[in-house]
Amino acid sequence: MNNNSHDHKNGDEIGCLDAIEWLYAWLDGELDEQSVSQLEQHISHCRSCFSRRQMELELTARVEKSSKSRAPGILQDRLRKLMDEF
Amino acid sequence: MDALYGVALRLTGKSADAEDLVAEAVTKAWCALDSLENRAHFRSWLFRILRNLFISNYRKQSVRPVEISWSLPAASDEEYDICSWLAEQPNDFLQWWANPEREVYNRFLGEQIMSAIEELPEAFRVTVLLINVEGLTYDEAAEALGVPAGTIRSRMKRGRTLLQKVLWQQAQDAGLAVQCQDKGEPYEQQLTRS
Ligand SMILES: [Zn+2]
Repeated sequence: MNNNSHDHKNGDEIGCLDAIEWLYAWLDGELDEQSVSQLEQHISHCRSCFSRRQMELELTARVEKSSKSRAPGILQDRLRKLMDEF
Repeated sequence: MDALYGVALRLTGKSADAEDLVAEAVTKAWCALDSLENRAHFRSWLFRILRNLFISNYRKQSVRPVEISWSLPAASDEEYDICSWLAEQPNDFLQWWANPEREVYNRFLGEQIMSAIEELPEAFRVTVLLINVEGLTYDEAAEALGVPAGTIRSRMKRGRTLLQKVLWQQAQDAGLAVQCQDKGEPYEQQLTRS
């Protein structure tokens, strides 16, 4: 993300509300590097955001494992044949 | 390929339809490859083709309940700001999670996560699955669902909250969760204090 217009003084102090927004973007692989380090800095000294990160991480991992779908082999074959026709 | 199939499966709800949809989308993309200006956008472009085909061919006969909120104006999604998030937070869930009784929690989560995901409203369920399970970026999911990327972001935020609410409710129904009265102030207060 950050089209988020919050102005952080010194560029390195974020509060819990920003931390949560950024945490969610981070979980989805959408947070830029600089923001990641700011987020980590916040989490390193904020207990509630630390617990939230652990919980959200575990929950996200569970969701990911819950219903991973693999393209069936038959579809792969079908596409290969399709490509051969071109 | 797995991601493309995964998206097709979430859209159609049936593996046979998903396979047909992917095959059609790949054929169409292959024929139209010259019209793609920037090859870096190939994946997003493929998701858009898939979605357009789904809308024109499958949506009418889809076994999935057609998602009403897909057609809601984006604004209603965007309004889900941090204040709405705070209001919706199942505060005790986080405290319960942080409790030492992790084994109970783990077993419970292992059993309940699928049914909790199933309980999410269609728009949020599909978005969460596309991002967290199929590994799409916000931009790719936006193409696949035909909504702005900002909508994907706010749906993810809300989808996570709703999921926790459902899990918290399930834990309470199962008698596994007791309100944590000894844990001090509610989460909002911790937040506003810092
Ligand atoms: Zn914090």
